[in-house]
Amino acid sequence: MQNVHFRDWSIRQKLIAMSLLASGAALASAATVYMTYDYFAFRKSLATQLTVLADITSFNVSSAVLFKDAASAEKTLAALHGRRGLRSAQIYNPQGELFSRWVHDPGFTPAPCVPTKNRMSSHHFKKGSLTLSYPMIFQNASIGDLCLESDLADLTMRLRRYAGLTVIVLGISFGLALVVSYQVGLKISQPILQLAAIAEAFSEKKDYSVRASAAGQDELGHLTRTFNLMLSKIQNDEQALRRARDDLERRVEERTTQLTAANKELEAFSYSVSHDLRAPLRHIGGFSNLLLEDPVIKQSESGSRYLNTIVDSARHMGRLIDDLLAFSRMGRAELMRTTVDLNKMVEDIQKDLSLDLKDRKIEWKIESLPKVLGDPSMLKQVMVNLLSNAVKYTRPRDQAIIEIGSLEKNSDERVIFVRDNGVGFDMKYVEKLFGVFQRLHSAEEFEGTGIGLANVRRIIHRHGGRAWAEAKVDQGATFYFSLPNN
Amino acid sequence: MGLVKPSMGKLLRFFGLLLPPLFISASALLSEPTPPTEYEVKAAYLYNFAKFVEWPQAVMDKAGETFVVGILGNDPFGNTFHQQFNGKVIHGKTLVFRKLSHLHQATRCQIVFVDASEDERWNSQLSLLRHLPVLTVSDMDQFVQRGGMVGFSLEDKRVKFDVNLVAAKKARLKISSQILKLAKAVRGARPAGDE
Repeated sequence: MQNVHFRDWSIRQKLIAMSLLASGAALASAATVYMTYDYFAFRKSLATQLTVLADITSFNVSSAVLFKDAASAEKTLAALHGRRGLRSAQIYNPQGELFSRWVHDPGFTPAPCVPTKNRMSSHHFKKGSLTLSYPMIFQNASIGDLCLESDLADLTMRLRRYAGLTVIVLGISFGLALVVSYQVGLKISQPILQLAAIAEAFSEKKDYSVRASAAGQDELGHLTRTFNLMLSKIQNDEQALRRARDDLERRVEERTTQLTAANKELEAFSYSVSHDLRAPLRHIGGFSNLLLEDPVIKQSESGSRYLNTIVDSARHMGRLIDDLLAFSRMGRAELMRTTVDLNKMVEDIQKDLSLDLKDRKIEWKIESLPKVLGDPSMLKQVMVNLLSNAVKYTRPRDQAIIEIGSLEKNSDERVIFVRDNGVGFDMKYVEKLFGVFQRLHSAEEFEGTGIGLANVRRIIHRHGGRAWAEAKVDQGATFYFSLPNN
Repeated sequence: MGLVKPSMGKLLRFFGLLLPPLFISASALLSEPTPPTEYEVKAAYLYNFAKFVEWPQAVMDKAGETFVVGILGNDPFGNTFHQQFNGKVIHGKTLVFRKLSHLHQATRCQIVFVDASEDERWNSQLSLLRHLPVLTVSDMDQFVQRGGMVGFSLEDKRVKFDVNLVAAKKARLKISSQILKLAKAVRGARPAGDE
């Protein structure tokens, strides 16, 4: 038998148990009180009946006692034979000697009588019997004692009948309590189970339209109505939320379309501007060179110096325009996806750079780099930019150290870094670093167009990765970019 | 529950008329260590008869303060009756025992005991006594057959008695059924009642 806690019982079982307990207790206590009362009342009435019987018998037998006619006395006593439960009757003379005796069953020997005192009768309940001592008085003279003994079969039978009746009534009331509490239990537990089912449908199937059917005006009815109210509120909120989300999505889509259009327009514009700027610039450069060959200009020292400045500026501007074109082309160019060997790439770039680095002392620390997926020419631009930056900004160092390596931050992406011991920068400008034409140093100090890192970030973003930097002033800088694994 | 009073009437009588002499004599009657003599028993019977017989109310009112038991003829009781019953109260009157020297004195008696020696004179005595409200008792032979009311006899040395209800009725005396059931024979008894 499993030991089940009362709190684990169903409400219906609890109700049934409660009503059975209550009705059982009420009935049992009522029966106990009533039976106890009746027991004593019946005992009293038995004693009274026996006293009345003794009174009559005493009167009937008085002449026989007075005339000492024992035979007649016995005859009178024998008339008690038909009396239910009476076992014996005895007459004692005033000296306490037995005068006459009658017994119901011949074998029965009655107990000696308790003598009366002060002409008062007395009765005694012993186990299974009631004895009465009754003073016989005739015309104010005491003529002896009459003793009657009765069994308590009537009392026992009465108590037994009460017990039987109690059991029957108990059974009937248990049955009724069972039926009633079962029905009431249904009335109580069904709405609760219904609420539970609705709550489940609500939370698991996302069915917001379900409602508990209306109940009565009791606590359960109140609960059901409150529950329904809550459901309505949630349903309304959910609908409002969905509308807001749909609205938001629609607006985002609109804005994205607008932005994309604007962006395309801007790119087309900047491309055409850059492209159209080149022709006049070429003219400026070409004719300036022609002027430098002119004998008149050659004789003027300041004139040729001015022209040289014009030629340099035109060349610089040409480079700027080239970079701008490259940058804007980057936004439109189709992205290729092939495996790129970064080690090989770094080697090639080192080779290209070596011509410019004859008078520099640079220590290269190059780890074995992973193969990555991406557009080879674009990634090469990234690496060229980062390496040439490292070379450029370590120029003040007698011994430049340039490290190239990779971090495996997590399995989703690979992180490549390029570290140098160059001049570094203040971290508060770090976001400016990756903007177009944003420069932290003057062109006199470190040449460049200020478009390189913007390009790096743009390429890496197009690959789905990120680009960032860490640095301290005069303590070198580290540039990172990440590429997704697939 | 303890003590239960026998009945209200008996209790009242107990408190109102507790009479020690009566109590003592009754117990003396029942507790004689030596067997009582024949006339001691007969004396007690006479006394008890007085208790179970009712006289007409008018007679009792006229009789005054005494209840007289008279004896016609020789007195066979000797001192027995005097010693044991004289002065007792019967029906509210003082019991007096009196030897009658003349038949006329019987008119003032409630009970008359006729000695067996009066056998010859009984028929003439009866002619007077039969109209008086007097209980006649005797131990002469055939007493009840000869118009007497209560006749003693001996049976196995025990005192027995017969009752003549017809005679008692003529004298307007009521004899209790309690007596009748002790009697050896009852003349004129009807099955239904005691009158």
